[in-house]
Order: sequence, then C-alpha cells, then structure tokens
Amino acid sequence: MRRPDGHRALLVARIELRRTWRKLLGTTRGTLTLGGGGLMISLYSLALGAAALFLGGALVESDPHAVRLATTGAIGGLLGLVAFVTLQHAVKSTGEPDAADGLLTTIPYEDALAGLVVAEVGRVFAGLALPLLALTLGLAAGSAGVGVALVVLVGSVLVAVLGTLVGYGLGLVTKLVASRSAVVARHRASIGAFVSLALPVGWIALTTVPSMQTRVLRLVTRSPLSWIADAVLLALENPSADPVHAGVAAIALAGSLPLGSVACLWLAGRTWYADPIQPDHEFDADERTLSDRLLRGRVSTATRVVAQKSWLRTKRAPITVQYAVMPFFFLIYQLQTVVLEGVVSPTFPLTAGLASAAAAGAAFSLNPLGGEESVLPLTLTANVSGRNFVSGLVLAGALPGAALTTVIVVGVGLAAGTPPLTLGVALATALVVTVTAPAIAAGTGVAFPKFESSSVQGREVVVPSGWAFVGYFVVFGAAVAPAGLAFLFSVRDLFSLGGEPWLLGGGLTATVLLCLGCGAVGYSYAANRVATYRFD
Amino acid sequence: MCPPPAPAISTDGLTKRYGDTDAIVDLDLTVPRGSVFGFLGPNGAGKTSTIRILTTLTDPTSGTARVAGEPVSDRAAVVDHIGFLPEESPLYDELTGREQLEYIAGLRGHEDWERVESLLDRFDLSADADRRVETYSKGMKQKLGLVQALLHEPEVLILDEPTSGLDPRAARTVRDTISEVAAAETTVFLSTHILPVVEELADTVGVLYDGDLVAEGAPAELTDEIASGGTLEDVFLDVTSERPAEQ
Repeated sequence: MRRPDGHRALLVARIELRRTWRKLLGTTRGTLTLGGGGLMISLYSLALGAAALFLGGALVESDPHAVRLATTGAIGGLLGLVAFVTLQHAVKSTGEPDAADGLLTTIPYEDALAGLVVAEVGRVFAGLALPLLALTLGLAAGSAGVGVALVVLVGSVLVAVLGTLVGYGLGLVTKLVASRSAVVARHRASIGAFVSLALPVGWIALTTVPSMQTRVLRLVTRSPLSWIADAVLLALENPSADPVHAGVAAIALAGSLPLGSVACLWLAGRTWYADPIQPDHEFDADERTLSDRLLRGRVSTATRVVAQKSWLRTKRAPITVQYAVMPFFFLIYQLQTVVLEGVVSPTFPLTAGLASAAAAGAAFSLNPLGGEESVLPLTLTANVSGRNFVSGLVLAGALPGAALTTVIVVGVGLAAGTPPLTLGVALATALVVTVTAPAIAAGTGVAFPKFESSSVQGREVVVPSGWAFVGYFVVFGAAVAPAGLAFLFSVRDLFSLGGEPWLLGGGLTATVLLCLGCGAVGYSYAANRVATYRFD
Repeated sequence: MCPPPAPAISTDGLTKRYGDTDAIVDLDLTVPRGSVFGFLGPNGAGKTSTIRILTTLTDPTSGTARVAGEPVSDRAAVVDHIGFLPEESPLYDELTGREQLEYIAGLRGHEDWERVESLLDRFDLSADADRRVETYSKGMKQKLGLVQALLHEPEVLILDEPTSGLDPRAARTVRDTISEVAAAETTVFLSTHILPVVEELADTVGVLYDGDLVAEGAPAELTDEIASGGTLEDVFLDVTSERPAEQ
C-alpha cells in the first residue's frame, strides 16, 4: 500500500463528478431529481439559517446538559445519515471504479481509491454545503456568536467527511463479503432486496418511537462520544465545559480521518482484486420443483414455462421486480399506529390484502413486452401464443399473490379481532382482486410499454413505464373502490351502516364484477397486442 | 559485456486456481522485448486469467510473473510500463472521445496532444472525437480503447481480441498499427481467436489448453512440425483436439 498521488486522485475525482453531473442531466428523471432536490435543499437551508439566526441564542442560555444532548444528537444524526447514504452509494455503484480494467491498469489502485472517495465527499457536500453555510451564517449573525458558528462549521465538515469514509469503508466490506462468501454470493440478490426494504421500514419504525431515541441519546451523552459537545460549550464560554474532553474529542475526530482513509485503502486493495465466488446454479432435468407440481398438466406447457421463467428471474434477481413492493409502503401509517398505540386498525386487514393484490399485479405483468428485454424477438417468434404468454405472466403474479394475500389478511384480521363475516368479506375481496390484478396490469402494461433500461441500485433493469403505473392504479382503484368503501363504512359504522350485510355483499359483488370485467378486457387486449406486436 | 536485456514478459510456474478449478497450471512463458506474441487457446483455456495476472488485475495462486522486468506483485511499477486493451473497451459513456483520451493522458502524465490528435486521425476518429462515447458503435469504441492503450507509448502492449467488432478497414488499421509499434521495439502480447491475424503479425505463438501451454514457437515452425505445412488453424485444432474445446 502506497500513499496516493494527489494530482491523479483529483483528476479521477473531477472526472467522476463530471460523469455524475452528465448522468443527472442526461435523463428527465435525473434533471427533475436535481431540480427538486435543489429546491428542497434551498428551502431547508433557508429554514435552518432562520432558525440559527433567531433561536441560536437559546444555546447560550440553555443548561449544559441540553447543549450536550443537542450536539450529540446532531453529530450522531449527521454521521449516520452521511454514512448510510455513502454506504448505499458504495454498494450500488461507487464502491469500485467503472471501467476498472482500464483505470487499474493505468494508475495504482491507491490513486483510484483516493479519487473515488474525494468524489464521494464532493457529492456529499453538494447536498450539505448550502445547509451548512446557512447554519453557520445564521449562528454567526445571531446571538450565538462567531465562535460557536466556527466550531459548528468545522465540526460538521469533519463529521461529514468521517461519515463518508465510514460509509465507503462499510460499502467495501459489504462488497468483499459478497465476493468471498458462497452463501452471500448465492443469495445476494435476495439479501439486497430484503435489506433495501428492511432499512427504510426499520428507520420509519424507529422514528415513531421517540422514547427509544431519547434513551439511546441519553446513553451516548454519558459516554466519551459526547465529548465533542464540550467544544461547543467552550465556544459558548460555559463554565461546565471540559477543555480536556474538548481537546481529546477534536484530536480523535481529526485523527479518525487518516485512519479511515488507510482502512479504505486496505479494503479496496482486497476488494477490487478479489476473485469473486461464482455460485453454481445446478440444473437437474428430472427434478420436480414446487412450480412443476402446481402447474404441470394443469396449464399448457408454454404458459407454465412463462410463469416459471418469471419466478426464476425474480429468484435470481429480485431487484428486477423491486418496484412491486411499493404498495406496501402505503401501510406504513397503519403500521405506525400498531407500533405506537398497540392497536390494529379495523381497516388494516383489507388495506393489507389490497396492497398485496396490487403488488402481485405489478410484479410480473406491468410490462409484458419490455420486460422480456433482449429476449423479446425470440419470445415473439417462438411458438407461444399471446394468450399463453399473458396467461403465464398472470399466473406468475396470481399464484404467489393469492397465498401471500391469504396469509396477510387472515393474520392481520385475527390480530385486529375482525368479526368472521367481515374478515371473510375482506379475504374474498382481496383474493378476487389479487387474481385479477395481473390481468389488469397486463392490459395497461402493453398499452404503455417501456423498453429502455434504467439504473436501479447500480444495475440496468427495464422497469414498467410511469404511465403504466398510473393506468394500472387508476383502474385498480376504481375496481376495488366499491368493496373498499363498503368495508370502511361497515367497520367504522359510518352513517350508521356498520354491520349491514347488504352493504358488504353489495360492495363485494360490485368489486368482483368490476375486477372480472377489467381483468378480462386487460387480458384480451394484452394477448392480442403481444400476438400482433411488430418492431416499428 | 552488457547482460542480455530481461524479457518483456516472463512467467515461472504460474498457477491460478478458482476454488477447485485450475485456470492455469505451472505456466512458463518468455516473451522477448520487441516481439509480437500470439496467445491462442479455446474458450476457457486460461488466456484471460493469464492476461489478468500480467496486467496485475488478479494475483496468481502460485508462481511468479514479471512484466517489463517488474514483478506483477508490484502493481504501481507494472502499470507504468503497460498499455492494455481488454475485450470490452474500458471507456466512460458520459465523456466524449477526446475527453476520455485527455483523461487517460492526464493520469499517465503524458499530455502529448499532438500524439492524441494524430492517433485520432489515424483511426478515423477525429470527426467523432467530440461526441459522447455512448453514441459510438462497437468498432469505434474498440478503436478508441486501442488509442488510449497506445497513448503513452508503452513498453508492453497487451491486447485481448483487438480486432473483434471491427470492419475490415478498421481491422487493417489495427493490424498495421500493431506492426508499427512492434517495429518501434514495443512488445505486443496479442490474444485473439482470429488466427490469420496471428499468422500475419506474431513472431511467436503460444497455444494454451486447459491451463497448459501445449505448443510454442514461430508460426512457420509450428505449422511445419505439427501440421506438416498446413495452417495455424490446423495446428490449433491439432493441439487442442484431445478434449472438447468449450469448458
């Protein structure tokens, strides 16, 4: 391991940042993200600056414990946020150089690593610079004073750089483990999908429990981790400030940066040159899988293999259908109610079932043509009719969807203490919707196909078009509205309609008819469109 | 009397193992300076593994290798002396052709813009040099990749399928360029499946099969000894015929 060359590292960083900028400006989505992000950051910075200007004086008057608590919380939050964002970024894309064969045979890897980390620091500060500037100016101009403003600025910059190094290092560790462990290599797609879902859900769940955050914070303030707060107290000329603690914390923070850099260099040397383990996917022609037992002899061979292909692709690369979990995020409010109040909302069984149905519909059928990617010419010229093909996609979503919906509705319903009749209606509604949703999705998917790939977590994937999503959710929403409203009126006893059997029955009947109608239209249209599709 | 110059590439007992699979077994290879070495072998024979070791992109399991006199364990020293064109040209889609070359020239500390322009011109890339690489055809990318490997006038040029995806005119340009750089004392390590290219350019040919070097010599010697005056293709088929070629 050698000391990186500064000139080369800066050159690599400059090109990396230029590429990021061009990537963002190269797509409508990227430009919108940039514009939206810029606007949000500007507004946030204004608010932060104003708060620092008018409320910064409170720091002077607050008791030392409150200052310690606030400083420790802010440092922990900034460090955690930057490290998390960088970790994700490193795992998805920046954890190794693009066109690595070229770069690593042009310059020593230490220079490349230094350049990538500097570029990552640049990206972090592209988001943090304005809020930090606003905070510093607000504090300096307000009654907190220039001394506090400088301490906050220097401390925040050091913490952000440390967060970047920690996140990047953890990203390299993740990549190293993924390339060395056979188990992780075999299941990395599933593990990645699980972690991607679990982390935001865990974060949301944690933020709903303020008492837990406060408890953690109080523990930290009693540890040396909060000594950096003494630097702020010193700047405030607070007599309880401990100069030794402040000095040790400052030295430790500044000293952790070269240590973090060396750790990243060491990890990159091992990660970038590791021989990745290639997991075997053994093929046994005689093996009868669960899908074989379910489908063989019951549907046409073409339909069966289309469904099996969809499942196999998802098993090997769940990221290709990751967008389908989106409906479950609509349950977060009800999940928060469960966590905070310990009460399961009576509408939760049906909403959970409908989320499962919406996911089942979106997973495999929302882009029948584009989802075939480069295999589409082969699919269209193979001896598979449009009906067989679309049936396979519908089966791929409906079968696992029905099982998942049943488990979710019954489980949540029992937890909520839903009466049997109401639970039965919720289950029947959710199942009918689950089975027909893939057909509805297929219809909107062929009407608004998408063939261009997008980068999802660093991998090029063809995801359904935005219009297909909109069309699907509009039709889906219209179809489930009667049963959904009837269920809501019944369990909430709105307009004194609680427990009226005709209401639930009527709502269910209307939804069944709408779903079957929309599903049949969607299925026929999709089958016909696939059968007659031409590359124009 | 001066000692003879060290060979451009030498390997001694080079072995690479992936799990239970041997990619290269005990490979001893010597490529003299200024020569063109044609490196042949069926798919899965171990050519790419050998190239990745010589370019320091992976470590050998055992044995040693030196490139331009430097051990491959000293990555920083080796990369100073080599130019490398892998099978997929390592380029950034978001940069223009000229920006890509300026970047590599800057990293190499070899900012000779006259040479950049002359190479762009030679490979018919001047008119497209200010377009982004993402708009290039495969052949154009291949040519740009070769230009960036040649920019700094390396001592050892390692090429993996350099003519793949090129039209006949571009392939001719690449072959002429290889001849020229070899004439200027650059050593060329050329891996390809296009045997006539090797037959035309190589001073020495090595055929790798199942990780073993099963034939080595001048093309004419090999065709005389093994194929009784046939072609290099006959030699290749003969020495790799014992087991199925695809691994």
